[in-house]
Amino acid sequence: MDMRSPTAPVEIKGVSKRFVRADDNSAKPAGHAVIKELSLSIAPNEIVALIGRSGCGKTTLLHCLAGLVAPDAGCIQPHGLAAQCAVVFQDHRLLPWASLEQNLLLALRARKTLDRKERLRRVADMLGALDLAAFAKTSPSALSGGMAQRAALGRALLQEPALLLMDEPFASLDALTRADMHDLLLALQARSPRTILFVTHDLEEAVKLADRVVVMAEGRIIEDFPIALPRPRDLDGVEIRTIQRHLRGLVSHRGESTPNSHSINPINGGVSPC
Amino acid sequence: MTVLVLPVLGIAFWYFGSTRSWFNAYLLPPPVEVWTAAVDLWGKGLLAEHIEVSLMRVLVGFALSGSSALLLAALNCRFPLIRRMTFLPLEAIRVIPPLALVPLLILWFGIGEGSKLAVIILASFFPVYLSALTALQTVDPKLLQMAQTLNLNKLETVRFVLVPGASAGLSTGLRLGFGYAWRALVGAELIAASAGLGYLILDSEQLARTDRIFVGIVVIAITGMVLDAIFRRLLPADDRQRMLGGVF
Ligand SMILES: Nc1ncnc2c1ncn2[C@@H]1O[C@H](COP(=O)(O)OP(=O)(O)OP(=O)(O)O)[C@@H](O)[C@H]1O
Ligand SMILES: [Mg+2]
Repeated sequence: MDMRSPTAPVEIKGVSKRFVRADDNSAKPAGHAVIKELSLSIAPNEIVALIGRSGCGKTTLLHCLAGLVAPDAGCIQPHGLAAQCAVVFQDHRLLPWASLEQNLLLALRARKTLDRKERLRRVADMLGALDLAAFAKTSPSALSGGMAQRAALGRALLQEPALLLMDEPFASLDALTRADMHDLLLALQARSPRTILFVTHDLEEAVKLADRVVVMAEGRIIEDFPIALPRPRDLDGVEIRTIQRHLRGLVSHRGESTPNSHSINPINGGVSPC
Repeated sequence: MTVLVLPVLGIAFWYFGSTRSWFNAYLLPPPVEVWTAAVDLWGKGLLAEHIEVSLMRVLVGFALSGSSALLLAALNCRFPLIRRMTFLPLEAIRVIPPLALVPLLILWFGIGEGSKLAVIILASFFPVYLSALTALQTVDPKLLQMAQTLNLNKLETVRFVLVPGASAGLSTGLRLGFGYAWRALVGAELIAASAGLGYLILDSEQLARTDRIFVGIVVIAITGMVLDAIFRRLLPADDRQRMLGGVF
């Protein structure tokens, strides 16, 4: 069973997650359902954008996939996906005490089969592809926000993840740098495609990059919208604008009537077999 | 240069005050006499011996307390259960001044090196332990999360994230602890010592040699500052890159 196999889709089946508030001292704290029996399938090498109002559970879903949060119920396939995920966070999270090169080398640390020379070669290649070769020995604190975020993306790609997760990866960048990051991501994707799930608050970014836009509201998916337009996409095109307007309506609305809402079962913990 | 202004003025005041007999020469001997006493002690080889004995005591005591404090901090950071269980006993010991335990320490360890080391250990354990625990607990959780998504194992996470992330706090704790160990010296050497800088001071008091008391005090101050400077060199809080040298 090859977990890296590009033919296996990522399947999220009926995943639920509750958080118990830290100030809840009752004997059986009910908690607060953040993800509610959510199911989603992502095809190999597909780029999926996840949008939704603040607090609807996007980050929690990503953390469930990355193994940073354990779901209460449901299952995620392929088995062992968490170890095959790489994450780009909103902040670059480069170790401030290590050089850029050392930071990227850390991504290959877990790949015990690679020898030192090969690791250095891959890091050098990646830094070259990101236009950061001159900064290999630089401390992350000396990089601009855009450069640091580029390095974070490179570090994640070095992991050769079966699923690349990005949580508002470009949100802290200025508009021009963000556009550059979009181009870079699409160029890298054209060269060696990956399965990507990314969270964004920027609808333009979602429709520009994604093959599919998934809208979440209150722990559920309320819309799953494919965007079958060729790239590069003209953001001023009629179709794109129509899609954007449609999505904006969904996000700004509280998604009460949900197209694919399941019956709401009380979440009783325990992961169902699958 | 400005750091020298006050010390030089102080010594000048001491010198001129003494030549004009402003002070009681027994209570505050003139600097020249202190200097003569120091040269005398040095010439007899006594000063070097006292310094050596004290240094050994402090180094051995601090090595023991520092390493056990770091170990306990690491354990307590990793296992909250141990942290909760050791909390009250440690707090109780922490608030007891080591000198209050001296009679008991003498009963338990005798008047040999054991009881002296115990005083130094008790004095220096807690600054190291508390700073180390805080430093380890306050390492940026986002970076620890990042380490997890990079699939780093426990050892790698400790080596690349936890220790460098806590290094500033760890070295502050070690420096603080060493300072406490050094300052506990005289207290430790109250216990039937026959050598050491603390002993020199106590012995000089009994012989009414105030000049030698001053020699002891000045030597303790200078040696302490030199040791602290060496320590700062060994534990660069701002140069973690060097600590990691070559490990990637
Ligand atoms: N560790 C946690 N403990 C308790 N509650 C949590 C925890 N993490 C998230 N939550 C809660 O879960 C809900 C969803 O949070 P989440 O971070 O997934 O939202 P989000 O969609 O990513 O929002 P944003 O767009 O603002 O990033 C919020 O109400 C949040 O308070
Ligand atoms: Mg979020």
